[in-house]
Amino acid sequence: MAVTETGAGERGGDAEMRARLADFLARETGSAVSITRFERLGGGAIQDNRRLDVEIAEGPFAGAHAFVLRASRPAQIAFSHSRAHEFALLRAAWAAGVMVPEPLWLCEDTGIIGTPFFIMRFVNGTALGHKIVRDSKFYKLREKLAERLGEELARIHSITPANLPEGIAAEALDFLVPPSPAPAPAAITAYRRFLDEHPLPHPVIEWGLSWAEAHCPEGEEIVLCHHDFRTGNYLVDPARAESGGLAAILDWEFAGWGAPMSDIGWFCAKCWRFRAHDREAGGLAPRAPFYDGYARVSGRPIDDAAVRFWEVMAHARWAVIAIAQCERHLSGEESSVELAAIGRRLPEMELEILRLTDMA
Amino acid sequence: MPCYPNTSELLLAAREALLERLAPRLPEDYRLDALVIANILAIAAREARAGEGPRRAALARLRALYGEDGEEDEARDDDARLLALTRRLAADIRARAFDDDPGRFEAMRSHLVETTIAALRVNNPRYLEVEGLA
Repeated sequence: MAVTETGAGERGGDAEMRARLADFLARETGSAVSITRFERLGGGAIQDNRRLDVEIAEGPFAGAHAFVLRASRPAQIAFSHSRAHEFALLRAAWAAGVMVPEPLWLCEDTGIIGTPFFIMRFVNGTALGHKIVRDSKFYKLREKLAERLGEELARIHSITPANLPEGIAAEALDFLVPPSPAPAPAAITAYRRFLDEHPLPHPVIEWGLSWAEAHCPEGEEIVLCHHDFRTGNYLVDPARAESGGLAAILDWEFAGWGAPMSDIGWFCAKCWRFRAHDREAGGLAPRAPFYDGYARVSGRPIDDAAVRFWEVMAHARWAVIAIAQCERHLSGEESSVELAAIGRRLPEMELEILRLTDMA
Repeated sequence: MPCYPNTSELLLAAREALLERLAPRLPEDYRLDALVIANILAIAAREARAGEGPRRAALARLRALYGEDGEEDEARDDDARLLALTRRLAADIRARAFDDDPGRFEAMRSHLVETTIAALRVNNPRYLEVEGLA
């Protein structure tokens, strides 16, 4: 992961912030805590992640630790969870045996670093999609990695509204939007509503949604979906050969109740293959190992028609997100050349919508 | 008399200076921004070179789809007309207005495909190459 130093302007108040943070950790661990490293980690257009290394003097956490502090940025994208909610999701995933960084402490007091945050264990690895898909270092791992990701997704999908993992309170995920009995039409309606608010017409996205409306899967199960399960959102460390390099599933900020095949479609969607278009499972491998890993652990067969539906919806969703990101810049909410440029990626999603809907 | 050098040539000169002279001297934190800006300059240069062609072609397709003549009004504002017809198309697609007319359905679909490919020629021609559509 790219590590960059915090800016000079920030460093002025940094010593006080570190002291407040050390106090917070002392309260949580019941021990004196000294901070040995505190610096920004790269990546994440929405969140602010910092490496936090500490030495804890005594008690159950005695010793040296590498943590990550995850905070909110001032301008948050609509629909994404607060840190408190993301922390609750991570705890549920951890309890279900999903490979995630161990969540440790949540702090909603904004008096410590200025925004709410939580602390989780640091996990080594890279999340950079281009690297994972192209770098020769990962070449031999990719098929195993795809299979392992299928297994992990199945574990996430084992969590249902009526069946939370052991050790998780029944109301722990009550903040999630109540599950829609029919996630597919609900998603179509949500995207149409979004398009209605946008000043420009988007006929290709409309076409994709009209096609989707006529091809909605029926009777889908409702499970906990990650909703951003894709290459770029998991950490890979080649040293972990036994898991195909998989080190952790990240970025839980969009998780919620939904249809299991929606996560499969999102993972396989062409927009997340990082130009390795022939490796349909996330740019890693053919779909078979990913599907096999998923089906073996979940006991749930892959529904090809539903996956295709959700792949069309994946590109419509990406397109809607791209518009929303671009609007963050255009509205003046967050001036960013990167956000502005995302708008020009829309035709990539649109071409895929047209291709996927060309067949009968 | 066209501008000299033309817009596309100017933008590409700016892009070259950014990539070859400035970017290597920037601190690492700023390099991604520089690459994004370089990409934007390339998009703008291609768009300038493509000129009015793609928009005119799109307008002609939509006029044909909606049976508009379009020749009689010399003072017409083509961009406003293109936006209005695209708005109508988006609403018609949502209302499934083409479902019962295979001819117009095909015209609608091929308009969407051609418009999307034209946009990719400007925004990301490499994507079209990867897709075998260049």
